[in-house]
Amino acid sequence: MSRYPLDALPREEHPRFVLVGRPNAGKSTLYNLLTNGNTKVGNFPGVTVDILEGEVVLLSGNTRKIFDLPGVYTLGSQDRESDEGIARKFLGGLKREPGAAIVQVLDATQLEMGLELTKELLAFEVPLVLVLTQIDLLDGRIPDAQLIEKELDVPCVAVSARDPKCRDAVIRVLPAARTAKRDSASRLNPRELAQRALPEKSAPSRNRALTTRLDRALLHPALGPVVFVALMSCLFAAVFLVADPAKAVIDTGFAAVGRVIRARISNALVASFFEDALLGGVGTVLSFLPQIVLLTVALEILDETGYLARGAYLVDRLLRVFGLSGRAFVPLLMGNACAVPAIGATRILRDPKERLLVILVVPLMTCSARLPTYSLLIGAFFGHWSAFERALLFMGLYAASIVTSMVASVVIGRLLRHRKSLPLVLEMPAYRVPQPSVVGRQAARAAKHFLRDVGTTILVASIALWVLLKVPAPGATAGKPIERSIAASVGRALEPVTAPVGFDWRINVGLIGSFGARELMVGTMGVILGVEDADAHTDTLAEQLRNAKGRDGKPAYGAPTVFALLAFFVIACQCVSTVAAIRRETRSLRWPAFVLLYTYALAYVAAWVTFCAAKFVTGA
Amino acid sequence: MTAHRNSGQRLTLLELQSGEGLRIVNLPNETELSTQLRVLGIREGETVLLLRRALLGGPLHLRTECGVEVALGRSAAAQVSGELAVIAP
Repeated sequence: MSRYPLDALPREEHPRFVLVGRPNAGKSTLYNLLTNGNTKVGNFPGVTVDILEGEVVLLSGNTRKIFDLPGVYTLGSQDRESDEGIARKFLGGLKREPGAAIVQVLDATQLEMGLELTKELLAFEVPLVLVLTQIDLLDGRIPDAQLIEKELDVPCVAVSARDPKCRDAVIRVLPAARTAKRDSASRLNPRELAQRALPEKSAPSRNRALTTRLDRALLHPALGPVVFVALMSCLFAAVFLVADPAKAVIDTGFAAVGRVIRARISNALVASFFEDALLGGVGTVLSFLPQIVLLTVALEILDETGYLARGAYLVDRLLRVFGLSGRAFVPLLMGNACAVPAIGATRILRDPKERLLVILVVPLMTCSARLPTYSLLIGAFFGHWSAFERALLFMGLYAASIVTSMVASVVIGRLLRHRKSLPLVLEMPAYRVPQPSVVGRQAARAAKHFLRDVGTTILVASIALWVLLKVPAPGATAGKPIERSIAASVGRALEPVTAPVGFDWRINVGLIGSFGARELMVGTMGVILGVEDADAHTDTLAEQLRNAKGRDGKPAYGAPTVFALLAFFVIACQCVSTVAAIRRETRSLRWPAFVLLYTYALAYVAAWVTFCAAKFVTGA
Repeated sequence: MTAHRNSGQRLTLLELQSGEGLRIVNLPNETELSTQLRVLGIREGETVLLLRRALLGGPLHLRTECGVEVALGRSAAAQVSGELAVIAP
């Protein structure tokens, strides 16, 4: 490590460095260490995976840019959209940039496989540095970095990236990056060099032995699935236990600020704009944050420990039935809490078509925002049912969403000509203790991403909805403000379309309101039915709903309408945040439009079938 | 259960039983898939050990000669063939 002494600093001719390495090689750990966690997602047009961009301060005090490419096994993949294809394109571009250097991160516990990638990188004829990491897992053995350096004609250091002290060793070697001799790539025999640099031990390392023991239990045919279900349930419970109170605190805070605004601004419409449109929009954005952060933390911990690959192994068979692969379990599961982080989590799917497919069906999962509307409607119209019957209805709604998403997955899969997911080929890394700094930074990144990309869209939509609900339609004079709103005119105009499923203009306005977020249905219905603070008085709202009269003076909403409305809520993608997330992840307007179109069309059909069936059964 | 299996017998990965090894002779014809396998150490001339199988026809859990452990779907495993090998535990 002292081969690059301070007093003989190599000339710093490299304006930028690019980290490359196999997945699980310890690249993120090294990147965090070098950049002290200061990073942003680089903006590279046409690139759908994140390339992180940060700065590294060299020993001379000079700052250099450093990029972190997604983990790749090879640069030889034909698929341009894959991580490998993107990495190859990025590295190909470096050839034209004089001075750019590649820093390859090699997992010392799998040195031979790392050197296979080195062979490909040498062929690029770009300055290169090798960093062997994870030497803490070698039970005291140290790979001979000098030998590798001599053989390949490029600098090489061996470190444990988990040890902050090794930062200097890496920083010292970075400026020494150089292009190897022409024949280095062809002369390199990865197996032979790996065995010379780190002679094999007969017994597996302690970490490997521990992994073998853990896998015996965690992948056991009977015990494995039980542990999996238990772990996922705990994860879910944790998200609800922590995220819900956090969301409540945020909501309460915003309500208090809203009251202050109302008291200060005398003009009701202006006050309402600040309170409902701006503050409400920001509140909606922030109330998603606890879930986003928690789910990201949970996912990162699973990934960092190595359990994520085990989960995919356990559920692969089940998901194959629906044309998906084991990896899809993570986004689908997260979708049951919130579709927004789930859509972000589809990045773990390697097959671009499968990823798109999962993005398109995730909005059908029963997210937590559907629950307030479910409980309002069930409470209002089926309050006389026994608790058991109501629980059955709730479970039925969950089951309906799972069945719909699986059927949709098969059908949309056919449309995308995604016949079958690629067979599962997944490395099962040795178990490791996750690093809080890596997990924390990932969560912070997810939160920042969400606020920037999704948050702005939500805010714009919130303002648009406010205009629809609060600004009077031209020519409308009679009735309560909501009855004069643009939304009311739209709701009335929609009545011919929605009458066959039993929705009148009031429900239509509720549906328009709930496009921003499903939970807004409760508040919007409250406004229409004249219940102040409907969220806090759902009992009153339920009563109003029951007593609401149609134009003929009869009760407006019977059981068929309510069932139809529930069916509609199960399917329709009434969530502007989800739409924004889909736009971000697919980088197109086509797919969010497709999701809106197909879920609303399907929701309408489902509502109609339910309405007719319920009318037939109840004899109404 | 196969009554008697000899070392050197021709098999696909899918036909392997837990604890058995396969010296690989043929990889899938599809280049993208065989590239994916090679980079994980499932390569011609090398031996992989079947550790276990997931329930109800799920993926296989393998360990390659260079120490990488891999979850491999059955449709891919059926396309990898070779000779039954004896591996020291």
